Amino acid sequence: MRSFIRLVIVLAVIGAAGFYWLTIPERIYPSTLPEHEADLANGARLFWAGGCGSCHAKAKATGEEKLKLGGGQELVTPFGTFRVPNISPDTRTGIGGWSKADFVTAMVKGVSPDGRHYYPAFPYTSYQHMRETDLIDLKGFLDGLPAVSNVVGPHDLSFPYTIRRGLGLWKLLYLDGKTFEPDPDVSDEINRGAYLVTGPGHCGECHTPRDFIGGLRMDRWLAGGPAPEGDGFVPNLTPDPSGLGAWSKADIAYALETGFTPDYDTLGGSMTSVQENMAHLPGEDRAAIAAYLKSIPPLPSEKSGK
Amino acid sequence: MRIRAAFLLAGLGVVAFAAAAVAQGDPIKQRQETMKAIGGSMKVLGEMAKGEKPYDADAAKAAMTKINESIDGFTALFPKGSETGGDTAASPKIWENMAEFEEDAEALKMVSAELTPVVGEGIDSLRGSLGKLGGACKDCHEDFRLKKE
Repeated sequence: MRSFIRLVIVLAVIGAAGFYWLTIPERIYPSTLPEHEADLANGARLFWAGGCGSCHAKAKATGEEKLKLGGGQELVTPFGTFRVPNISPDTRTGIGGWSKADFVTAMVKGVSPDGRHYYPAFPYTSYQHMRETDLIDLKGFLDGLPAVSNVVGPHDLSFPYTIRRGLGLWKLLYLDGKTFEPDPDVSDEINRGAYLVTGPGHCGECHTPRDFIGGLRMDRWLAGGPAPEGDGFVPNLTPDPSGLGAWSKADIAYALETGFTPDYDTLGGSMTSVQENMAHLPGEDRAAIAAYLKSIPPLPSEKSGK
Repeated sequence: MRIRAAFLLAGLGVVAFAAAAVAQGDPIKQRQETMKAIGGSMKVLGEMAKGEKPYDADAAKAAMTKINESIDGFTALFPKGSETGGDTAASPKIWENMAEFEEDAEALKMVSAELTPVVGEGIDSLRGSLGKLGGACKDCHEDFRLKKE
């Protein structure tokens, strides 16, 4: 009996040590970053592709207000309510004090400067695929936006999602840390679109359905699913008849530019704000996104339980 | 005999109920028809804006007028009890915030009235108008429409 208890204790210690080791938040160190002067025009382009303002500005912000990233919106999800942080360059309540390495660590590793895991409501699962030079450009652009003094309250989550350290295990499943690699077999335009969609645009975070612990089901890439936040269904973007099969490449690019679908309905819901960001991109980027979406494998929609 | 009378009355009741439903209309269907009609007029304007159809000032003004008229009475097609059913894409937020929903519809009424003469002034004016008009559509679709598939 005594040896059994001893065994249990030993296993528990090994388990705890293993958990600790597996869930250590990773960092990116300044020495590994490329020498790169921030290109602010490219930073602006990535800002609009990423749509930072759709979550980090006030809800329904337009024009200049969409550049004030003081946070505070609430995202209501099956895991609880996330409160969007202040990422304006305010040094006290925002991210004004962050180094380049802090920013790249947050975007690629999903880890805060003080070494805590971020919840994947912040879509670093997509941003991890961005090039480091692009991230430096984006930070340069964000640094020039208005500082907003606004303290945002903590998230309000249900157990076990309250255990941040556990996200280290989740990351082992869903973070691969791989920068986007262009596919040599497809055109430059499709590769550009693929980069924008999978990296900064983070389209898959809503348009790809999630499994029960919130990981993207990559076998259903961009095939639509229940909205990860709020009510309703997020449309299928694959070229299946139940998705965008009937849309031409020009139709997709036009919808991203103007909000009008081919039958002159408009995009709605949270896509409204996303589309208005995309409208700031150069036309070639919208065309690239459209070209990529026409090139992905068609998947039939899984109907929502109406 | 009595049983037969009961059946007859029940039958008449069903017929009367169905007749009342037809007279009252099906609000979900009616509001979808309204949106489709507006979409049809948008298409007339959009095809000209994109250069798929030649610019026609009269047709553009007529399309904008039709949008302006179609939106009349739209919000009355969302009575209590029509929150779900059919393939409605109406968000429950409509009934939580009817005043804002009505404001959004009123905004479309105003902007379409204002733009009716403008779209007759030439292709560039039409293109500019379409953006404004689309803004009114999107303001409402952002909050009050839910995609179901």
